[in-house]
Amino acid sequence: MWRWGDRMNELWREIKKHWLIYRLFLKNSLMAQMEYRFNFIGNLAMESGYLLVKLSYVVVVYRSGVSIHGLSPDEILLFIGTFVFLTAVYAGLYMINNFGLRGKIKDGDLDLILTKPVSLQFMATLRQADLTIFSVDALAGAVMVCIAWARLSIPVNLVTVGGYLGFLGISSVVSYCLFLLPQILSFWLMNTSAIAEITDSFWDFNNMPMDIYNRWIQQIGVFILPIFVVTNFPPMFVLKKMPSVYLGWALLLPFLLLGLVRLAWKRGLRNYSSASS
Amino acid sequence: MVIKVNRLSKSFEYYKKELGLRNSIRNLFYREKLIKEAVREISFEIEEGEMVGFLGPNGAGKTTTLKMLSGILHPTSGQAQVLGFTPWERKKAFKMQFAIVMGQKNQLWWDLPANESLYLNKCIYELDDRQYQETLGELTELLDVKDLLNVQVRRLSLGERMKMELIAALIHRPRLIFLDEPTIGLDILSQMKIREFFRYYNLEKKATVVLTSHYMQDIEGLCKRVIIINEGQLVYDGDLHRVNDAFAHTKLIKLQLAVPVRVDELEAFGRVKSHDAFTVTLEVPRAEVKERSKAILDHLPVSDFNIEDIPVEEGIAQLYRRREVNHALA
Repeated sequence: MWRWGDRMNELWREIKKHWLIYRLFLKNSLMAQMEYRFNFIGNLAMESGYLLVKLSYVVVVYRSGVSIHGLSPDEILLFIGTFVFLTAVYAGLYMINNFGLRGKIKDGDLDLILTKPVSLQFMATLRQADLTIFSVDALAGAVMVCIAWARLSIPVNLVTVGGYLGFLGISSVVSYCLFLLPQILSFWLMNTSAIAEITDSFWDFNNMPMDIYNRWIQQIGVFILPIFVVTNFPPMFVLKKMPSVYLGWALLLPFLLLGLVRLAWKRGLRNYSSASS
Repeated sequence: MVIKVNRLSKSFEYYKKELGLRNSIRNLFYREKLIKEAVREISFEIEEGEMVGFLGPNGAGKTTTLKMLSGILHPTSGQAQVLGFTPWERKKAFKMQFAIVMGQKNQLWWDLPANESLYLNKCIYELDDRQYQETLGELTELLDVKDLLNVQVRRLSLGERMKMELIAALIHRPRLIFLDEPTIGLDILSQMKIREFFRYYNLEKKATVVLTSHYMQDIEGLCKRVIIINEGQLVYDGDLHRVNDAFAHTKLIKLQLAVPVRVDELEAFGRVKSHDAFTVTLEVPRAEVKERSKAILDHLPVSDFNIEDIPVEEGIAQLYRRREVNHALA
């Protein structure tokens, strides 16, 4: 009993420590970006412009008043807002690390971080962030979701808001795992840019609600290559369009994927051969 | 015992590609797997507080050994205990007690001042504020970089950057330090400063230091004991100044001549190692030093005369060239 309690305390201490370090990673990434102020402001402007282009799709949907597979323009806005917000998480917090991982493995740059008393996977996959992308997209996504939420008269209570945020959390974990897994192959194959680029392009499957695809594609995208889980589940939950089997799957999937990533990471790490100095 | 290594080996798989596009295409379909034995069954022990030079030519397996001892690489076979841990199990308690510095790799955030990276390491190593400030103050003082803490790493010179890397590596006061060519590319003054620093650090903190370097001054200045490996095998483990004893059956006689003497005349007294008009170095068999010296003094116009051992680095170079394992002096 004591041992269990000690373990829990130790785990809690480690979580707090990693959270503190993660905040420092974010702060350092932001400060490093701000060192090049023209580039920093340019990136903000470019990302805002890119966002405006995305928003033009929403305008088209509203102007034409079309419904897609029974989804009203407001519901589509909720989907798109969720997509934009999660794009912020993926592109701002994960992508730069994912793309850099194969280089680190090939060039032996995991050497020093392997000796640090923190999780290597954490250090290697979350150390850097692009906070210009994150801040612009997250803000815009949040605004879109709030507008759609209000127009759809979705009640603001613990179940809807808590559920939506919970699903955003699940989506963040799922996208972290889904897009990291192909990169882990670099431990064996060294260069996985082709595989990574293919899987990266899957992100755009989330551009529109999965209802636009036929049933088979939907099942594959939910259960086999669960890319649709990422941006479809949070709005489906608040719109009460989520079948109970999806709910169970959503609760199980992050644990399955995290387990798979940990297993692959540990196996891969045994293959790490560093690089000659 | 801080480090205990028993028959440690590491091999890597690789394949060859012959010249040209045709062979690249062939390689797409078939690659013959080859094995490179980087480290072959080496064994040694290192006591607490020792400073040991780990030497060998390029590709000898020094860095691979350090990487196994610091848990970066899994060995192919053999055992090692470092600070009571198996390094490649990468236990947190083990990582909290050692540091590795690699001259060609850095851990500092390039675009930020070093103090941001140092603060990050404070959190990583769970140091309290007082302990952190104390160590930081001491290390920056010793390495004379207090004023550079707020300068972006990318703006520092190579020497300054290495000093900051050392501070980042030592901020948690490790008991064991692996240094892999810490002075590579540095100017003589920076090399001296870093050597002085480690001499002091080892004395004061009783830290165990394992050092690889191609600069003999680093080794001679810091290490009493050296471990030499070549082609993955241990060829010498012992006192630095006894390296020559293993094979040096010769001594050097250095002469200052009053008048120039022809080389063929000098060769009658020993092997001429170097020669210009008035200065000559002869290599003679150790057992015949007395007779040869007498003959030289009797027959040559000698104005100054000196008998010396073969320089340590020459002895080491000879060991690098030797293939057979020699534990004679272990």
